[in-house]
Amino acid sequence: MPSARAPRGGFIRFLFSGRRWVALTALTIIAVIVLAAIAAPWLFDWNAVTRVNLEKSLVPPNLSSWLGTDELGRDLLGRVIWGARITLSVAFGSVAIAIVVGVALGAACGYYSGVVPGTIMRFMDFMIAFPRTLVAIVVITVAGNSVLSLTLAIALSTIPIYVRFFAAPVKALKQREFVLASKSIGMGDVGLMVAHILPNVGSLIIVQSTVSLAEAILIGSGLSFLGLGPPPPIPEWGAMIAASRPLLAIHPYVMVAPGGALFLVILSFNLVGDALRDYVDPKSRHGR
Amino acid sequence: MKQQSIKLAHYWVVGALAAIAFAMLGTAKAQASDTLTYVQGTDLDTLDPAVTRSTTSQIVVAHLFNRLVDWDGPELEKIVPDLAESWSTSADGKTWTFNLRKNVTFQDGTPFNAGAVKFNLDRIRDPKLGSPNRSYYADIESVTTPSERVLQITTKHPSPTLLEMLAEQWSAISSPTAIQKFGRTYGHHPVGTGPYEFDSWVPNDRAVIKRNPNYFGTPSKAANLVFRPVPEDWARVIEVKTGNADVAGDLSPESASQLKGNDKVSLSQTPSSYQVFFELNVTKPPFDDVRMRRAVNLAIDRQAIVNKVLMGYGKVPTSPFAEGTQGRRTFQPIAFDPDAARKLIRTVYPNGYPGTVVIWTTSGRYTKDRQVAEVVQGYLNAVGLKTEFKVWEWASYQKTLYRQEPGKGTGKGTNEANMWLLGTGITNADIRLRRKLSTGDPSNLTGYSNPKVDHLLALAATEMNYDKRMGYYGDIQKIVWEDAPNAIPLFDQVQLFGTRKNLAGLVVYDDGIVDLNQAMLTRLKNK
Repeated sequence: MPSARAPRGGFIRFLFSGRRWVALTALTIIAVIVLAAIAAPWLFDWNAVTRVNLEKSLVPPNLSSWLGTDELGRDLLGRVIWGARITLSVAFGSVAIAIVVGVALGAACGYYSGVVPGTIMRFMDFMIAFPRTLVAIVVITVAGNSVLSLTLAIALSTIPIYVRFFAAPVKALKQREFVLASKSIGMGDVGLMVAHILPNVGSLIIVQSTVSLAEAILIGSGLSFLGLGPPPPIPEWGAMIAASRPLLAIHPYVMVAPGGALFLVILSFNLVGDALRDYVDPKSRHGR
Repeated sequence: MKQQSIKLAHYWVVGALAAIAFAMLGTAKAQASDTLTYVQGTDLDTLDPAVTRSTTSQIVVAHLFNRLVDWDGPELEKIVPDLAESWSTSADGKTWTFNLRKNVTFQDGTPFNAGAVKFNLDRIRDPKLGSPNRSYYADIESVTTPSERVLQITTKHPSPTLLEMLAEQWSAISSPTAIQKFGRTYGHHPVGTGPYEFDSWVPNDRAVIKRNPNYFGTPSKAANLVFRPVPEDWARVIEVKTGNADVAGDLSPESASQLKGNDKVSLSQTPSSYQVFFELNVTKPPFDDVRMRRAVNLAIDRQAIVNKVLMGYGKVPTSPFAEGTQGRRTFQPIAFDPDAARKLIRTVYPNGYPGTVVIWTTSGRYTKDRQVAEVVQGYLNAVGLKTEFKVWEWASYQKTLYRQEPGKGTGKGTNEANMWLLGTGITNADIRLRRKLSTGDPSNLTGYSNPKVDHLLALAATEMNYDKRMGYYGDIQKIVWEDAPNAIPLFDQVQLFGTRKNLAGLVVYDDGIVDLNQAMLTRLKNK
């Protein structure tokens, strides 16, 4: 299997040459939101976004406040951008934890055989049977409402996916000639895994992670919609959507801001994930 | 041929199903026209009248039970007979003799007599029951039953409030047989003498009560009353718009504005004795210092809250007592002066208060409670206080607030917080003040202990002259308003209901009790 560690620049060239405009737009949207989230403190002051200002309550979108203000008079664009910060850190954080722990555990379980790896794999199967939101609710009830507990809660329910996902390819790769060859010249287990096996599953990690990111964003917003996310006045898209519901009939723009942002981000991650999958799959690159 | 017979068979099946469906609809409609449905924002907590403290539950309780005496109507002008036909006091004012109604039976067949009343009054005063309302009966020395129809209550001092206490929902008379039979689960199997009797209660789904055929008084109109908790208020609006419900209570300002001009539902605004406030934990910093309590009161713009968050459906408080409360005295509304607030805070904590103020609130129990709590959080942050915010579900909120934690600070579960959102609509002046302010009262969640207030309450407890007694209550209101608050009053509520236009006979009290006894739909056609 040829190395799937193609450079990122290649991916963008791939999108242009294949005239994949939708995916390109999605990638741009993600880039814009990530940049905005990073630049949040310079774009909108945290105090302005959390301070209550009832004089400016429920002002529809206008020139000075592009998306309008919410019930407490806070600028919706500012809250969406700061909310992006939280949503993206929870998503990237939880997926990063899940990858590190999940891939390590999965690779180990796939590489080694025996009772312990077997038990771990069965336990992962057991964990996957639980709805992810339920697992997250349990964690948050124990750990309290905060950005950290939300991240851990989602990570915990994502780890089993990565463990299961990687145990099988690692097991298969273990039997390949180049691995056996390296083993015969005395390469250690860990060295083998890092040098030979991981690069070959790298493409799988990348594709799976875009899916996981989209899911993490959805679950995270869902939990904060239910009131299990970071407490007020921290802006989080799910909580903002929940708060806007009573006002929907009279002031719909209060829901449009966070709802639209959420929709765009999840859709974009899914579209980019699709395109990445095509990019990384050698068959689709050369024939279609 | 086969094709055709299959087609025919299909038509028969569809026709049969349609017939069944219409038949079911028909019976459903017939049942529905005898049933009134009331949707509320929260579920019941218990139907044991001695123990419940939630208006949601008391609305149902009011239909299931009678008391010895009752108020004549929503205006609370005078006390009238209920289960007691007449009464008199002894010369020294310490012994009351009640003549009880004849030929009354409880809904389980147990005969009503003086023994049953004694059983109930002894029960609510028994510390083992742990009733949060026990202290209001503290003045009762003993209850005796000289005969089946005669009850005597002896009080320690002449009690100006005994009759008012006996008219309260907690003084409802339950069947002793049922209480003994069900013990701790009596709250799910209530038995009274009232116009309706208990049918079923599925928590989080519905409570159903049906007309009591053996009721001694005026029979009620609807055969069944259904009470359903529907937490989302826009969902309650939809229920009443579609006719699934006949009355939607606890409506928010947004929902109310959606009902304006609706042809099937009318919006009614009634005054409310409810005031919503943040109670303060006075046993630990920062609110153990009265200056901090005054400071946070100055930090809040109540007019803005009423105008913007409540959309005008509410009033800025001018007293710890809302309109319709007995003995209400009014004062100047609390000023909105954040600079003065900051200055006061600096006199207590020159470098700012280092800790975090823990704010607890509920969501959906009072009008826009969570949103108002968030606004208050904003105002506190604006004067430099760090805050931590927690939203609770109502039933677990009540349990936690009132949970006994002897020895710790407030002596209750409230000790873990610095401020918690609550409302009270109690119209009886003595109860409203004693509950919240008297040192050591089981309902005193704040740990408030003010010797001046205790002294005034003690004077009022023995003052038989009504106006003088109200004067004492007025003085207490003044202390709490201007001098030593125990809370941050936020707004006086306005009750918003959506009712089907063809519903007549609904009676609403200032304290939130809804009387459906004489309510009925005037036309039984398509809703």
